[in-house]
Amino acid sequence: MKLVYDQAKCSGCAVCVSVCSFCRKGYVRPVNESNGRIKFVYVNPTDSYVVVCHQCEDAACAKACLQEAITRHSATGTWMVHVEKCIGCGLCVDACPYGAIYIDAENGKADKCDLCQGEPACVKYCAAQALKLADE
Amino acid sequence: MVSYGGYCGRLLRVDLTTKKISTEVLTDDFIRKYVGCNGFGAAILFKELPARIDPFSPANKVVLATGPLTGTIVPCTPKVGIFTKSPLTGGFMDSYAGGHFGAELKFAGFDGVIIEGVSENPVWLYIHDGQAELRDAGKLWGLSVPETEAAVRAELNNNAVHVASIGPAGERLVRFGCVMVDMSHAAGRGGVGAVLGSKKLKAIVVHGTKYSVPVANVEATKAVADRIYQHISETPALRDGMPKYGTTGALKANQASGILGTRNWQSETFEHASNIDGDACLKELFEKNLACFQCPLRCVHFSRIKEGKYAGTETIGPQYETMYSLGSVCGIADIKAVAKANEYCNAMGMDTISAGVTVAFAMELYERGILTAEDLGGLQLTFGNDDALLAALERIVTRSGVYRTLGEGTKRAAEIFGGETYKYAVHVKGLELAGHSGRGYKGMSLGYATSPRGGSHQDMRHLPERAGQFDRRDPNGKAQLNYDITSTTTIRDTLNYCAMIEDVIGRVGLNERHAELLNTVTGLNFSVQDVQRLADRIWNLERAFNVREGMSRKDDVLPYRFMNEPIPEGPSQGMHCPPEELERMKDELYKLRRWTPEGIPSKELLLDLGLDDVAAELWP
Repeated sequence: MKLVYDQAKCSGCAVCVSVCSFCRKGYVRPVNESNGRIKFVYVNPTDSYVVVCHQCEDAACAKACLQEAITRHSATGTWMVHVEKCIGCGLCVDACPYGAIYIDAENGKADKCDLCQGEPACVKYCAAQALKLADE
Repeated sequence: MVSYGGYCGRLLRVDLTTKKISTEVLTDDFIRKYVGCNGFGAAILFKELPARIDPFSPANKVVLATGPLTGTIVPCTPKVGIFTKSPLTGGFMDSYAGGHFGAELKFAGFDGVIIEGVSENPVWLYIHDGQAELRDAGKLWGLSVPETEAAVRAELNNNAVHVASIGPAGERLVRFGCVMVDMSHAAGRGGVGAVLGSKKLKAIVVHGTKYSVPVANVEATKAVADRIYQHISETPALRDGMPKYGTTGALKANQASGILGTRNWQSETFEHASNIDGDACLKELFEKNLACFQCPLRCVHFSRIKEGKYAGTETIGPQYETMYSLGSVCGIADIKAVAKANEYCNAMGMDTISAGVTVAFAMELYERGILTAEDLGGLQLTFGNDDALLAALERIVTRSGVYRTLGEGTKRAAEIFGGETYKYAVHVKGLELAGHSGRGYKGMSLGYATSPRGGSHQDMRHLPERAGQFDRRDPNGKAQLNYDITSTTTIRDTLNYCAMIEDVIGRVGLNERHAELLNTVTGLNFSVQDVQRLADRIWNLERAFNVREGMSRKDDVLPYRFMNEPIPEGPSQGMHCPPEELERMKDELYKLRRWTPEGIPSKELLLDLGLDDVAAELWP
C-alpha cells in the first residue's frame, strides 16, 4: 500500500499535516516545520502542495541504512523504522529523494510515514480526496 | 506560562514611534475574563485608548488577536481578528481574515500583536519563532498587495511566510482600506487597513516553525473535532455546497426572496441576477478550490478569465458579499466585470463591500443629477456601467477630485455633499451595509441598527430568518432573537471559528457545544451560563467603547431608505422598518440587555459582568 497524492485536487488546507501530528502526538505541529511524516510546502496563496513517502519498491532510505533499521512490513508493504536499531545518523535522510524521512527531534531517531498501520489519518481527513491509499 | 490550553501565552507589543518591541505574558486572570480574540481586542482597546481620539492619530492602536482554537486540530478555526478604532464609524471595530496567518502567528509563538504609535518612514513587521523585527518598507510603499507579498517573500528568500498587508488604498487613508491576508482573505470591514496606513505599517509577515499550541484535553479535543468533521460530511450544503459554490449561492437565494440589494437598494430584485449568481461563477470563473488553514470546506475559489473583455483577470473569489457590492448593488450584470473589480479591490487593499456600496451611492447621485459627469471627472456613472465602476474604483484609490470625498465613505461623503444626499447613503454608523437586507428581515433591521460595528452582517445573522426558522416579516420576538444570535456570534469570534460552521455549533443561543468547544481546548471549565456571561461581557465592552465615543440610542438607526421607503416590488414588496417599529424593537432589546432607555449599559450590569473599570468610566 502507498499514498497517492493528486495536487490538482489539493486546496492547501494542510489538514493532513495537522492530523498526522495530532493523532500521533496530541498537538498540531507547525506546518512550516521542515520535519514531519508529511510535509506541507506553501509556495504562495494560490499554490501549495504536500510531500508524502512513496513507499518505494527500491527504497533509498532502507538501502542507505547501515543498521538495517528500515524494513518493509510484509502485510502492508510499508517501510518502517525500527527505533531500537536506529542510531540517528541521518544517512537515510540524505538518501531519500523526496525528503520524506527525517530525524525526530524528540528521540533523535529517524521517523517516517508508516501509513498509520494501514488506516492513514491524512487520507481519512482529506475532504478534497487529494490523498488516497493505493494497493500497489 | 498560562495554566490553560489554546494559548502561546504571549502577546507582542510593537511601538512604531520608538521602534521598541516587547513581549507581554498573558495572565490566567486575563484569559479567564476575556478568553480570546475579540475579548482580548476589546479589553486592550478599551483600557489603552483615550476617548475621542482621531482614528488616524498616533494614539490609536491596532490589535491583532487569535482565539484559543486557532492552531489546534479543531477545523475551520484559521482566523485572525484585527481590532481598532474605526476611521469609518469612530467606534470599536473588529474585522477578521481567514487564510493561514492566524495559525502561523501562533506557530511563531504569539497569541496576538499590539501595534501602537506611528512610524516616520514606511516599515514592515517580521515575526518569526518568538522574535520580531521592523524592516524598511520604503521599496514596498505604493505596491499592490500581490506585489508586496512577492517582495517580502523575495527579501526573506522564503515562500512559506504568511502576509497581512495593506495596499495603496490603506496607504492613502481611503477610510475603507482593508488588510489583506494571504492576498485574498480580507479583514475587510471598518478601515483597519487605513489605520495601518496612517501608522506607515505596510505589512506584517509571520513564519513559525517552533511553537505548538497545547490543548487541555487531547482526547476530548479530538472527539470534538471529529464531531465537526462528521457533521460536515453528513450535511450536503457544507460537504458539497461549500466547495462547489462557496458563499455565492446566497445571491440566488436572496433574489428568490426579493431581498437582493440592487441599484443602491432602490430595489431588492435584480433582473440580471442569473448573470452574476453562483452558477455564473461556476460557468465563467472558478478554476480551483482553495482553503484556509485546517478547513475541509474549501469555500474559496481561484478564478481566471480566459476570454472577452476581461481576459487575463486572475482573482481569488468573488464571494457573495462582493457579488452584491460590486454586482447587483451597482447594477452590474456581468460576473466577469465583478471578478475584475474584485481583483482590483483585493490588489489595492480596499473593502469590496464599502467600495461597491459607495460607488452605488455615487451612481444614484449621478442618475438623480446631484453629481454631474463634470463633477465625476467625465465618468458617466450610470448603474450597470462596468467601465465606469472600474474607473471610479481606481479614482477612489488615487483620491482624485470628488473621488477623494467618496473615499471617506458614504456617511462623510453625504455630509460633505449635503442636501438630500443622506437619503441615499446606505450605511449604519458609517459602515456601508453588507448584502443582507435591512428591510426584508426584521431581525436584520434591529441587528444592523444595534451592531457595535454598524452595517455588518457578522453580529446579527440573517440565516435563521432566511431558512424560515423565524418569521422575517414579524417584528415580535426579534429582540430576543437578536440577543440569542449576537451571543453566539460574539463567542464565535472569541473562540474564532468560521461563520460557515455556525450551524454545527449552534446559531441561535449559546448551548453545551459552545461550552464544550471552549473547555476541551482551554480547560477553563465554563458552564453554559459562564459562556453567556463571557458573551455579555465582550458585547457590553464593545458597546461601552462606543458609548465612550459619544454613541447612544440616537446612533442605533438604519439608513433613511430602509426606514422610509418600502421595497418596491417582488416577493418582499412593501417591507421596510419604519422608525416607530425600530424604536419599539430597540426598547425591547435594551430592556433584555439591561441597558438604559438611552442604550447605555447600566452600572449594575457592568458590575455584574466584572467590568468595574468600565462602570467607573461610564458612570462616574
